[in-house]
Amino acid sequence: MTIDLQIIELIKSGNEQGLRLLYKHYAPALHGVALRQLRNEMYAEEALQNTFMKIWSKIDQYDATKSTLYTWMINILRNSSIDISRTQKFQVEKKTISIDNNVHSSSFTESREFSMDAKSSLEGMEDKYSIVLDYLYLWLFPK
Amino acid sequence: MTIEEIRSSGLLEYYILDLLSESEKQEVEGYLQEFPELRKDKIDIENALHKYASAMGIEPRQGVEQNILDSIRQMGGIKTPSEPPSTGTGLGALLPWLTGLLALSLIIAAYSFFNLRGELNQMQANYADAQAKCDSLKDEQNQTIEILRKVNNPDSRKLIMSPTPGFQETELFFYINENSQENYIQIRKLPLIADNEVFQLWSLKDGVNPIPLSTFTGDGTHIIPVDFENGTGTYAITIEPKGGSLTPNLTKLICTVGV
Repeated sequence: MTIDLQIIELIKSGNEQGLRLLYKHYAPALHGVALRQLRNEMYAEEALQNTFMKIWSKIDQYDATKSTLYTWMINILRNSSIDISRTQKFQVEKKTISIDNNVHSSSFTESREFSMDAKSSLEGMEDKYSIVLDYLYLWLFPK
Repeated sequence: MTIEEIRSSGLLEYYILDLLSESEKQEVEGYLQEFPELRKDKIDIENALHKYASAMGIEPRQGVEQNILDSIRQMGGIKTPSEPPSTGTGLGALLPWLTGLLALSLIIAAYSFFNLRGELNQMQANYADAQAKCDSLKDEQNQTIEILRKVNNPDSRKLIMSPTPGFQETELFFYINENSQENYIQIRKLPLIADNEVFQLWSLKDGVNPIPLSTFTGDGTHIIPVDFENGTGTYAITIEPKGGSLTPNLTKLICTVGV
């Protein structure tokens, strides 16, 4: 049994060990995505926590024929991050930090550098995927 | 659309990230069913997403995992905790102690039970022994009563056996009932004999060799039944080797009684 299947079965049976395995195998990846999307440790943790809670409560809705477990979770995380980013508190803090002032300069530079770091860490990956990843992670998330 | 047109359209990527309308999703799902190559592409993209995110993963700070688990526990639905409850305040902290106390109580109760059970078994064994002795005494008593009844039967004659020289201290009563053909000897005093010797009763008749009858030791008995020989003129008692003899040892004739 693959680790994904094991995790799914444990969570469906209400076994806490499923959560622990899920955290061990996926939390760093999910947290990293949340952090890059929200650019705030506190909000990224909040998004991660919300994601795990939704995974726990909605595991029966996961359909392995439609997507991998990771894809399903990343979509939950993305929606959670969007919800957080639309809160008034987040909007206020965002303005305070003046992220918008940098949208055409440093964020672009940062995103290109980020993209290059990502490419370098994924040697051997076809270009079509790295381009897609740049696009997905850096340009789809509303700023 | 051809496969290449689908690949270059970005539809797969949008589908994976759940960014399509319902109708667009159904369109892509149709393509996936139609083109197995697209299904492979889809899996490749998903794996690439996962690999990318894992490579750029950032470990959450310490404590985040516990916060998540605590939040989900509060939601409920955890049926199987993966580790023992944390020690803290309240019932959770007392539970190990209560469990230990209960276990200790059970051990003490079990020990007491088996201990008392052992005593009960011993008492039951002692009672059984006592009851057996009582039954035995009762039997002896009944036998004695029966013997006394018989020797006191009007048809029974009580005779005093005459001791022979050398055995003057011998004192025996001989009860004979010719009607019921029963004999009894009441032992008052007998000479001491060796462990390998017994007393033997003989029937003496005219013109006939002595007839060997009952043997007895006389231990703890006072009235004992002995053989009756019809036509006996004299009964005699000798000391013989254990098991009796076929001919009397006249050197150890202790008493006689004419009937």
